[in-house]
Amino acid sequence: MSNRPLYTRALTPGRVLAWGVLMLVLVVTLLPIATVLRTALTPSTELYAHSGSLLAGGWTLDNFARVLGLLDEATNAALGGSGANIDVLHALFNSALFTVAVVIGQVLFSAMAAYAFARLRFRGSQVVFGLFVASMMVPGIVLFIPNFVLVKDIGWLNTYAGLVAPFLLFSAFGIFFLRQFFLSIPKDLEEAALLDGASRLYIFFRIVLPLSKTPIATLSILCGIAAWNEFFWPFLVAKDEDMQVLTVALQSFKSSTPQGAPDWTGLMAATFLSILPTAALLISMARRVVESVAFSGGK
Amino acid sequence: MSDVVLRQVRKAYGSIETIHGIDLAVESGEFVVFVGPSGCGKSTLLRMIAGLEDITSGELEIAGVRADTLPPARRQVAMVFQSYALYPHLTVFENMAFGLTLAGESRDVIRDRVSRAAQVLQLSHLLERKPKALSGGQRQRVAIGRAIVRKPAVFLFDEPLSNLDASLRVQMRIEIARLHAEMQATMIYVTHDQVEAMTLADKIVVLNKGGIEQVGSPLDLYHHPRNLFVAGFIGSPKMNFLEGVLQGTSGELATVTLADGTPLQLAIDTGSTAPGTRVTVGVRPEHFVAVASGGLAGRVLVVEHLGDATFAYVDVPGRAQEELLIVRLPANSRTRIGDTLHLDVPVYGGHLFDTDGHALRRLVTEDTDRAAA
Ligand SMILES: Nc1ncnc2c1ncn2[C@@H]1O[C@H](COP(=O)(O)OP(=O)(O)O)[C@@H](O)[C@H]1O
Ligand SMILES: [Mg+2]
Repeated sequence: MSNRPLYTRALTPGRVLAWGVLMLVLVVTLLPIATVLRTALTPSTELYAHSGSLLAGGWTLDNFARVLGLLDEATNAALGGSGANIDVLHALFNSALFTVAVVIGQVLFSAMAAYAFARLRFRGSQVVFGLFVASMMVPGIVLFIPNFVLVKDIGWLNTYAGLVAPFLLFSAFGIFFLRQFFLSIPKDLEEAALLDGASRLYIFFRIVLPLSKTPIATLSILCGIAAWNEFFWPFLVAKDEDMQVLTVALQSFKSSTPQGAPDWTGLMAATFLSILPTAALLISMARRVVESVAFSGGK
Repeated sequence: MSDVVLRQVRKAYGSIETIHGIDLAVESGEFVVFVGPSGCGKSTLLRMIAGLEDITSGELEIAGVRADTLPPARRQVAMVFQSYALYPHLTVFENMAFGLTLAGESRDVIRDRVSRAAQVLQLSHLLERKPKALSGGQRQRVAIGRAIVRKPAVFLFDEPLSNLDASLRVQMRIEIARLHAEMQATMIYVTHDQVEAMTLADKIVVLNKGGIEQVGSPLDLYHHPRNLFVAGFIGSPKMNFLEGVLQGTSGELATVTLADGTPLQLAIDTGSTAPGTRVTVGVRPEHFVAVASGGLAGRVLVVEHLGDATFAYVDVPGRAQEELLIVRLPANSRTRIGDTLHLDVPVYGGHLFDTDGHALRRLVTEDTDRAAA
């Protein structure tokens, strides 16, 4: 990079310590994933044979084929499956739909609310904003019971509407986060647009949003990961097999197989599949986010 | 016809009034400059004309239409901001076309007007660039271009040159003056820089603390400042102020004694000001004449050679302000630090201000001023 920092790259004790800590964090983060992968690749029959080793004894892709529903039921059972028919692909689809809907809804509506709090003057805006921020302190789980009762009364159990309803309209964090950024956009720009004849809405969509690509990407990633990993709410309201998202579907691997033990290899294969999209998203977007942050800081 | 008329325009933030009843008419095709120290309300006044600030009370008319109730876009004004306010994510072309697109102009009209403005401003080769790939001067020209394409009744500029370096500022100043001459457009220009005001304006409005101190042509303000504030604000280097006492008037000449007893005779109509009144004598640096002896005497503390002139900073008694007396001497002056200068003021060279700071009427014309200079 052109703007290389000026400080030296000498091997000071501080740097050694920093690298050491980073390595430790890396190991702690990656070890569980490695274990998931190792288990997923191990034939069920050999699962307990080499339990002390980090590497699988033998390895096979059967577990992946099995959870993706590529094998017939007899083979499935022979390989240690539960016999219950889990449609991982459909659960993946549900998860993707849930995540995309929640991200689009949360980001769009948070952005609109954040813009209103940043720029529009209306009676009580400070108080309302304060309440939004305060709501971040309320544990989400407290809201699940009233939300559940409401969704049930509306008759939205086991529907996509019920699944996304509590998440779609806003995230207090998103509003807080984007408002901070919107406040940093020069007012002159919007005033120039106002003189050019633009409406508030036009300014929001054509000036403010395009200038906010970086924070919106960041917020989308955070919302997306949270939505993808969301378990408890979908578990409450969307238990039917064709409505299950991946996190809920994974649960059924824990129930006993005909052989009497949980289907560990299947669970881990499906778990590994469920990690892939988030990992891909993080790896591809993280680079962009870092670059745009570096760019805005370096100009 | 007046393009912009303000009647008793006021602005208050809560209970604090920052603009105190402005009456002003800007004629069609006129270049009017609002000048005044930082915080005096220039931007607020301009933004009220643009519609970016509400007018607390009073009336505003633009191009013959009552405008204070119209939204900004319908006031037929275009504004150039100090920060340029270019849309960073749009190209130069898109920046200039933004308002036209919103106004629903056809593609051909937009392309035509933008390319014509770009030609005038020498931007034609930059139309596809983003603002961040432009220099300060180029950004400034894009901002002006964005205003031009909309063909407004009135152009508003808020300190458009203050982000440029000194040489570019002079260059852009000339360019704006040229544009005004070519387009014959009505322009209102805000600056705190009195040199910009003097060089650009047909009419200067001197503002101070939310009110108008004086309105007039640049030379009018220079030769006939209405009060101490305008006298001190217009002109560079500043006018010198000395304490004095009015002795009397005979014919056209008023006699004043300075703090050290030096008598001065000035062509000033003292009106009803009684002899014995304390007054402030104002003398521009170029109006002092160095004499061999007598006159106002003082030690030279600093000498600046500018090539075309020499400025001496002189310590004399009875200065009305902290600053040293500034005297303009001929370029070839041999005056050195530590010398004693004897200074005289010709009868047409001085200004008198009464105890309230109001100017007494000078009995000079532009011709005698020129002779005195
Ligand atoms: N939003 C505001 N709230 C309160 N006072 C303000 C506001 N904007 C400007 N002022 C005050 O109005 C006065 C004039 O400001 P401004 O027009 O920006 O001055 P100038 O452009 O001449 O430097 C200043 O004293 C400033 O503090
Ligand atoms: Mg200002």
